[in-house]
Amino acid sequence: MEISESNLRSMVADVDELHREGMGDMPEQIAELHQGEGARLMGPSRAKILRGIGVGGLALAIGQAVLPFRRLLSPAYALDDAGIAAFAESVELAAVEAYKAAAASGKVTTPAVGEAAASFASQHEEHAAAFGSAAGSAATNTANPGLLTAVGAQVSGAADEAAIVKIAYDLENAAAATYIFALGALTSSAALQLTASILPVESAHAVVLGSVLGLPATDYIPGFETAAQALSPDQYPVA
Amino acid sequence: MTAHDFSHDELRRAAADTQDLHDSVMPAYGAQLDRLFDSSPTARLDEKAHAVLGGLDRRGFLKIGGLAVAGSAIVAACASDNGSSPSSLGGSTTTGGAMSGGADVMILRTASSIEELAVAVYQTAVDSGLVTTAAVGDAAKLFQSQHKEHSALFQSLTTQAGGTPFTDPNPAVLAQLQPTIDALADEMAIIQLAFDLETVAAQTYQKNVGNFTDLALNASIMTVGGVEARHAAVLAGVLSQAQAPVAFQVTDQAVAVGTGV
Repeated sequence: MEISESNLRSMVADVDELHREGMGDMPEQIAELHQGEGARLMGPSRAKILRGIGVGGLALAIGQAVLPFRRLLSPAYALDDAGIAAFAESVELAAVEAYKAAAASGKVTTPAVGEAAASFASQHEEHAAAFGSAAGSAATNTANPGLLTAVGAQVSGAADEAAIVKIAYDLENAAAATYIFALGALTSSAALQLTASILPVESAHAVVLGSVLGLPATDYIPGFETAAQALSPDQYPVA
Repeated sequence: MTAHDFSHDELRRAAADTQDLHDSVMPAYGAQLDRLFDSSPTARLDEKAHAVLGGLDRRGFLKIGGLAVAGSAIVAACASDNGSSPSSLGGSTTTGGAMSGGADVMILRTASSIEELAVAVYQTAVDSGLVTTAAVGDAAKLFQSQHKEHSALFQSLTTQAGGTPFTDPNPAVLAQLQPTIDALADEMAIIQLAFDLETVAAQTYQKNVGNFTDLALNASIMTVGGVEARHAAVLAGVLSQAQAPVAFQVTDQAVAVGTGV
């Protein structure tokens, strides 16, 4: 086997404790996602989504930024399929730029990490093109300005390679979470299928980066994907 | 939190189910993890990168080429049902209205059957005596416990959709896999089988997005589908395969709805 036992150990480190913690929350998470407020968030009716605006004051960390969950549901943002696709396009382009900034920072010194970053950036570029196509006239072909600023600042302030990888890890998880949110709001089959084909790739990126960081396995292998870290189109509007 | 509109009975049932799963998994799991978590110093980042990103530079990729038989068997199982299943989604491209609520039930029953199959296969792996790396065994148990949670979710959603949950391993896919399972000879073969199963699960859930009458289920099924993709990525790393080989996940290995259920 190519992977050492010590490395594999790091992939499942602290599983016991975290599994216990995670299992304690699991009923609430399931209920939240499928029966409660989460069901409204991801439900079939946009009116139902908007009625959820008043719920939830939970503060969610996106990298170093924090946003209130209810802002995901802002009525200020047109939650139609084209708008969601345009937002996703902007997020993907911001990810591309983030990886480019990381590569240009000189802080990535491990060749394999650099190769992974280049590969992931290329895939995000493909995602952006696909979302842009789905967005039609709503597409901006522009990296999300707010996200770019936030992540760019984080990359600039990163102390070392591990910090860069952590930023990318957070961004990938945020993208995956954003697509869980989107899947609850999109209605066209094509947009749903596109999003469902991209979400698993972001999740795989997160696994790679989380394991490189030596995070506890249950950090990057949760029991369920959630929208908890979803990026808000209100917090990060398209250009 | 504001008032919930879900049943407290449902939440209690979910909590009880989860606790049962937890109780059933944790004793042996904890013992193995106690041995595993020896607080070894964190490896250098480049060492970790070498290990987990090995697939990106294709090193060792061909070493496991001969093991990729399980996936073919599963695909064969899917193909054998594609044309005959009354619930086959075929070329449906519409959202919601074109399918009845019964179709939601069939998708969810198929999903829980796959999860139960994964649980059974991981148990077979654990019991086989072929898993010699403790961390692999621990990872298998973690994944198995998550598949149990996934099955519980799909069964709960089946009930909510008005159907009867499917609680057994998918018999059709299992029958196709049995020769491969019977021929398992070493740890790497087990990991390859697990990878193939996780890939099939991830692709199956992706393929059903857009086909639900209840649109909320599009997100629900991918809360699981994304995790199966994470499992597959971990296993791909162990197999020294690329962990994120393509920009878009495909569905060529998806199990057709209604297969075996």
